[in-house]
Amino acid sequence: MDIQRMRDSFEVVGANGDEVPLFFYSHLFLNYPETRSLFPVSMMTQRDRLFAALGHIVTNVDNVDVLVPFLQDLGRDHRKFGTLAGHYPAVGASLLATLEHFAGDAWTPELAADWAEAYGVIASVMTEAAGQSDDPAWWDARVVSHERRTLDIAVVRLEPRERLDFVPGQAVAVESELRPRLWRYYAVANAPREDNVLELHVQAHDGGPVSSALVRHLAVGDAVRLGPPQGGLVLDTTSDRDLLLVASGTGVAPLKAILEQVTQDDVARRVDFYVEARTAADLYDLESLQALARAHPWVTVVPVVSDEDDYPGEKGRVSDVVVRDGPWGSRDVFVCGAPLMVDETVKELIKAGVPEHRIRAERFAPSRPGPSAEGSLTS
Amino acid sequence: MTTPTNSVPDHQEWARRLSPADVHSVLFGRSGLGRRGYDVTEVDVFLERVQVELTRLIREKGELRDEVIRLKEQVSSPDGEGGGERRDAASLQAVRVLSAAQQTADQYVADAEQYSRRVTSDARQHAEELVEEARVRAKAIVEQAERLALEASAAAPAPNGAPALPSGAPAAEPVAAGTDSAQAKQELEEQVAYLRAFGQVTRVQLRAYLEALLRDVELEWGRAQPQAVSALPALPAGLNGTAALARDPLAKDPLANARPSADGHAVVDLSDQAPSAPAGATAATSVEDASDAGVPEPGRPDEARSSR
Ligand SMILES: Cc1cc2nc3c(=O)[nH]c(=O)nc-3n(C[C@H](O)[C@H](O)[C@H](O)COP(=O)(O)OP(=O)(O)OC[C@H]3O[C@@H](n4cnc5c(N)ncnc54)[C@H](O)[C@@H]3O)c2cc1C
Repeated sequence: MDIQRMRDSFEVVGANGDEVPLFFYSHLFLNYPETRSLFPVSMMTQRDRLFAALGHIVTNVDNVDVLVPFLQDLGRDHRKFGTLAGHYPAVGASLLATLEHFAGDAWTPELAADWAEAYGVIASVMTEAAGQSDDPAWWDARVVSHERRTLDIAVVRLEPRERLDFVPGQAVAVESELRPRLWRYYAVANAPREDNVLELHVQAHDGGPVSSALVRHLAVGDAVRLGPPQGGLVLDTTSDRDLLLVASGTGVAPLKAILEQVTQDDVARRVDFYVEARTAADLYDLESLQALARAHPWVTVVPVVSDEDDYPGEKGRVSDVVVRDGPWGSRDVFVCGAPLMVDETVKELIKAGVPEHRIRAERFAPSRPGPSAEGSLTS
Repeated sequence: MTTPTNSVPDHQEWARRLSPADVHSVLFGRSGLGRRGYDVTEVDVFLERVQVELTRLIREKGELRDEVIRLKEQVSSPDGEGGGERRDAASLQAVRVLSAAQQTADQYVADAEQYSRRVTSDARQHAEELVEEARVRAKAIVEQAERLALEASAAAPAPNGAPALPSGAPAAEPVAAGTDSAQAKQELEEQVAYLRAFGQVTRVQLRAYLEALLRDVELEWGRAQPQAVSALPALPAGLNGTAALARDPLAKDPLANARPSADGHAVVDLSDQAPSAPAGATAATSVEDASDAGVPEPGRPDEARSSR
């Protein structure tokens, strides 16, 4: 396999931008119409994703340590989209046709053979990883309750038909019939329960198709599909340090799951939970957090309101309040919520002496990482 | 090949051409307060045009590429032999047609999202202004009532030295009935209770209306129904000074049964006054919601801290 030649050809092809994935998907859907239903109506974002993934693969094609785990994740992750092993040859055929179409004179039988071989390896790593899992490809679940807590936030409880095991702090990808084929991650807001019910906290974003639908249109009895739990915002099982939790908006969800888990353990760990919201009315889950604090004297909940002058409690940015109340050098720290808040808090805590490796953070970024004005991806 | 939602590689390793999706979801930093910056709506409108134009250029480029391929074939086999190649060209054309259809679909979805974004954020801004207005008015009413009550009780000192109307709640102890001043005081207390409840109901109903508005916006692309505001309660006769608040004098008085209860809080029965809000005013809007629609209870945050 001549890797340099493959990279060069991909660069030539890639110079055609959006035209390339557009051609690829049209070719795929024409020749294998059954694949169309695996994708959403709008393919705009999907095309960028294809490019990003291909670019990542081509960049790391000689770096097995990076490439193999990436492909394995990709393969496992694709199960929930309904991808079957039988789809892989179809994709390979359309990929080769696309490369040929755009490579022009650079396309030679040798190059074609290299790409075919490379794709074969990619497909086998992906299908193998997908085949190894005993979990269902996705979980069918039903909405058992839907509460609008504010204009833009809903607390949704789901009951998966089959047991869905997760670690507190993890998120599941959600697809609703209201917005077919659009998957978005939402953190589970409770520790695992006997009855298997999962609580999600969803914040509607203006113009955000999935979040708006989940907040404004989802109703009790509706069906949703869930992907396998993901994410590393989980307790370090080797540590029994006290905890500092910092959340803004629906970033409360995964941290509440962690808090629940800690309160169920035998060892009492001190927990300080700072919750930021714009206004007091946006502190949509304060009561259940305060109930936990009342039941466990070593748990403290501090609401912080950033945008309401006559609020009687803590006002301002949560990062400032947290740092002021420190030092937190001996704590395990979890930060979750709006990207700006997370970045700021992590930065300030490190500056204030918290070792970076004790901080775990998750940014609730939009599903489509919009490029910044200079063109770099922001999330 | 598809790639998973929300799990695109973090950093971009491959110099990639600008795509319509990039233009659709580009993020600009906000300029700081007092700094100069462009008008957000104008930038959005322009970006939309750029995206449409980019999409069109990509399509035209593809069509030209097909044309080149077709012409090349004509040149290399003028008498039209080589049926295999012609079939290829035909399927290329099919790919192009499907691509154009896909781009049209993408554009519809992008337009709908853009529209929904604009209308919901406008609605929200409007909502926040209304709520703020209601809050200020409700506060003014309560202050006025409390002042009246204070004046009245100052004129006729309460028996057994009970403090006149603590600012938190109407007097909890029933005053000895019989004397004129005591009666006047009781009436005033009832009015204060009424006004407190009124302030709360106003907020609850505004919220119902605004929720319905947002829902409407999402469902039907923003046919707001201003008549829903008429769901605001009317004031009873005798409180003329604040009658301006009642937008629709025909609406039922939701507070007909509101009377100070033993614990000093007004009891409001909202059960029979479903606001005539547009379809979708959710049942979630109940008296309970008043707690997060209204002014925060002063005790709450401190309570949280004190458990430290
Ligand atoms: C691991 C993980 C866990 C998550 N957990 C939660 C959770 O528990 N609760 C929750 O509410 N969300 C959570 N999110 C975010 C969630 O996955 C979606 O990204 C979000 O709901 C937006 O989806 P959408 O389809 O409505 O909008 P998208 O299609 O993603 O975005 C469309 C447009 O909406 C706007 N928008 C979307 N998201 C944001 C944002 N964060 N800030 C500003 N504007 C935005 C932007 O204009 C964007 O271009 C999580 C994300 C990740 C990665």
